[in-house]
Amino acid sequence: MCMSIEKIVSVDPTRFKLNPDNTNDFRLTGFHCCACDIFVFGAATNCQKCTDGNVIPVDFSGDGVLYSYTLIKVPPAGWTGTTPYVLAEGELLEGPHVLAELVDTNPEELFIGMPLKVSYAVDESGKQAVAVYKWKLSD
Amino acid sequence: MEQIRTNRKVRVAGVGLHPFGRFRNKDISTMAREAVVESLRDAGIAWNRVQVGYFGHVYYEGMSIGERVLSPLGLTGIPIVNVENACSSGSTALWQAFWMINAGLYDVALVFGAEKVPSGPVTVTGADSPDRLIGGDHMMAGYALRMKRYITETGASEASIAQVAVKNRQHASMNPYAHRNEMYSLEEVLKSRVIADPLTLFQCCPTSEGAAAVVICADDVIDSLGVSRENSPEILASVLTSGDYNGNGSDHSAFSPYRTEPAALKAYEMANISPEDVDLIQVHDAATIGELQQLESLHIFNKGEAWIATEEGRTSLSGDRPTNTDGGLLAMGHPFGASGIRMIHETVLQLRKQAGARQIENAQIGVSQCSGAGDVTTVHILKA
Repeated sequence: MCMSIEKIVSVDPTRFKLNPDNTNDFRLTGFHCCACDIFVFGAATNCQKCTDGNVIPVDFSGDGVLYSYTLIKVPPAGWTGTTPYVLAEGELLEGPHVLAELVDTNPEELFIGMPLKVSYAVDESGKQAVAVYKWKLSD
Repeated sequence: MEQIRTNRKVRVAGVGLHPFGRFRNKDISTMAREAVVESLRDAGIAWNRVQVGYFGHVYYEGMSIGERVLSPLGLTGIPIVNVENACSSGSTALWQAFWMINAGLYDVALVFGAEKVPSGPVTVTGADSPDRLIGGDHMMAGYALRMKRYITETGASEASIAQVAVKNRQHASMNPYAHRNEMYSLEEVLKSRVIADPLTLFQCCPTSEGAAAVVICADDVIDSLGVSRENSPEILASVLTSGDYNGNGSDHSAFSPYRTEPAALKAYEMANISPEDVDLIQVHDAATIGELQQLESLHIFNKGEAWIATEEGRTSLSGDRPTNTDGGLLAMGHPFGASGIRMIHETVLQLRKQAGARQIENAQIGVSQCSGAGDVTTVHILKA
């Protein structure tokens, strides 16, 4: 990364936050419902299950398992990364599912259930440097 | 609000269809109007007898497009409603019209839909959505994720799933209105270029242009309209649902595509029939895997067994569960606002015994299921 961290913004602050003082400090974020004990990834004003408004912001562990995946060879409009790319659906340990690119991997060697962890990369294709969350295989 | 059945029967009096495909020199209004005029002519109902209109469409074509479609037919002052509900826009328009008549507000409604879908992978979010950078907004990738799960959990092979495309192309070869009516072998389907592994191009529906329309009316006014009751199948059920909480937030499991099952069960209850009573099925086969999952969610086949039934030929025109008899989305193509109404068009032709070479013997009850982003599902059940 050639850009200073202060100038990098999150792709979506309701889903992903990056510590401006420490590039190794990043989290997927969401909410926990105190009434029915479920987690929601991203923005929520109320619980997705019981609709209770007593939800509190949480940082997720960032660990999960591979729920499903696909190697995309024809990308959608707006995709700025390389093609083909692996789109993975990871299931966080807390429950919610998260779609993101799975980087640094050989698609031939993937299988459902592999352990994953959250990472990120900086997209500099636009005027603003954007931190985009990614999946990586766990070490 | 719970959907209930009243005692007022609603029938489909007329149907019209503009061919699906690419029509670069024809605007959406002209296509839609041609389908509308055909549906009115088919019903034998004059335009000035229509009391309300619902127009399904998705892509922006200017404001109040439904009004612009109809205005050349004469300005009658009726309410015209523009409906956007993703790929279910047309069937949502039908749902609205059905319940308006059933509730007694109107006697005669026009339901029409049209689209000119841009080429390339379909995205759901706006151009400035973070999901564009994240890379997850890709409709066929969503189906590919489901296909991986389905294969893993059922033991189905990629070839067995690809059979759906071969079968629907065969059906479309007898349908001049289809976007793609050339037939392909299983090998050609599997070897067409990969879009999102394991989905190949011929396992994904074409993005298309086209239009469809139906005229529906209350049974208790059908004689005064001079409409043939015999040629006007009854709508036994009309159900619309949106996404409900499903535990882990995944739309890509092997057995819960777009929450079809709750809508289907509600529709069977409303129609007072069971899945075994269904003679004819149209489902949302935007990708091959979609047809299998929807058939299972409709309880036409047990979970994890639709691919076996497809291999056995049970979903072909000569099978006991004929599915997507006009070619479905995979061959008809998918102009979003028109697709759900196109399913009704085919169902009505079959129930009237007007489907020509595609005709199913003794079809009495037909189901049409249409999905859309937002976990929308519509299920309509028609009876001859």
